[in-house]
Amino acid sequence: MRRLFRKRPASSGLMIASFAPIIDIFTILVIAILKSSSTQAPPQFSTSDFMLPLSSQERGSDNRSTIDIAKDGIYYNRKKVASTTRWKNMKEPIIADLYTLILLNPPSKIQLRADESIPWNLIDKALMTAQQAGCTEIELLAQSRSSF
Amino acid sequence: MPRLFSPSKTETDIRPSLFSMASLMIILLPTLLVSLSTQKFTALPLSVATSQSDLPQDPGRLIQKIQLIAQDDGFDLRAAVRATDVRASTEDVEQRKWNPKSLSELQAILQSLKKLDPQHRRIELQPLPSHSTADVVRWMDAVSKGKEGELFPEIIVQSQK
Repeated sequence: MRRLFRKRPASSGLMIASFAPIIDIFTILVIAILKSSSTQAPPQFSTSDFMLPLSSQERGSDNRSTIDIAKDGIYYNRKKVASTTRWKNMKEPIIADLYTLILLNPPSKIQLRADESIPWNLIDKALMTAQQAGCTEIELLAQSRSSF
Repeated sequence: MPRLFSPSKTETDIRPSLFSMASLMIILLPTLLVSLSTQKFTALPLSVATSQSDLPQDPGRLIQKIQLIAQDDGFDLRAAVRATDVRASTEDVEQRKWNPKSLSELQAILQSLKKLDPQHRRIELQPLPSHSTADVVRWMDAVSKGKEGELFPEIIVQSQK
C-alpha cells in the first residue's frame, strides 16, 4: 500500500526558491546602474571645490573647449585666466583676459561649467565673451538629477 | 496492461539555468560599477539674444512672444498673444501678464499657454544678475518640461539691464 505522506528526497545544494529573489534584485540593480550612470569619462574640473547645478534634462555632452567658473577663478581649458571675485563686481560686459585667450584660437563650440553658487551676471559675461570671440555653440554643463 | 511506450514524466531541473543567470549577474554588476561613471552630465544649450538683433517672430502663430522675468519674490511672465476677436486685425497683439510666485504656479500658466499654441517652442528668460546658476538651471528645466509634457524647450537667456 502506498504511503499517504511520502517522504520527499532531500535536495542537495541551493533551492530554486532562493535563486529567484537574488536574480530579481540583481536585475533591478543592473537597470538602476545603467540608468543612473554614464559611459563617458567624468570631466576634469579646474578646482576640486566645484559643484555643478542639477538639471532634470537628459542631453549628452561632447568634448569641446571649456570655460570653468569656479569660486576662486575663471579658467579657460583648465588654465586660470581671471579672478571670480574681481569680475563679479566689474561692470564691463566682457571678460577681457578670457576674450584675448579665446581669440588666439577661437573654437566654434564652447562648454561653460559653472559652480552652482556663481551669480548669473558672471555667466552672462562669460557668454557674451565667448559669443564676441566667435563661438556659435555654447552649452552649460549640469549634473543630471538621475545620477547617483 | 501497461503501455509499451509510456511518456516519461521527467521534470526539467531549472536550477542550472537559474544558477548560470545569477552567476552572470554577479559578474555583470562589478563590471558595470567599474566601467561606468556614477555621475551623469547633461549639456543645456544656451541661446543668447544680442542687443543689436531682435529675434524673428513666428508668422501666423497665436503666441508671438513669451518673456519670463525672474524677480526676487517670484516671476513676471509676459506673453504677446494675437487677438482672437473677429473684429481684430491679424496684427492686433494682446499683452498678457501674470505674476506667479512659485514654479508650480508658473508651470500651470505655461501649460495653458502651450495648449493655446502647441507649436510655440520659444521662451525668453531674464534672470537677475544676482541669481545663482543653480536657480537659472532650475527655471530652465521648469520652462522646458512640465508635468504634462514638453513646454518651451527653446530658451533664450537675456540679461536684465
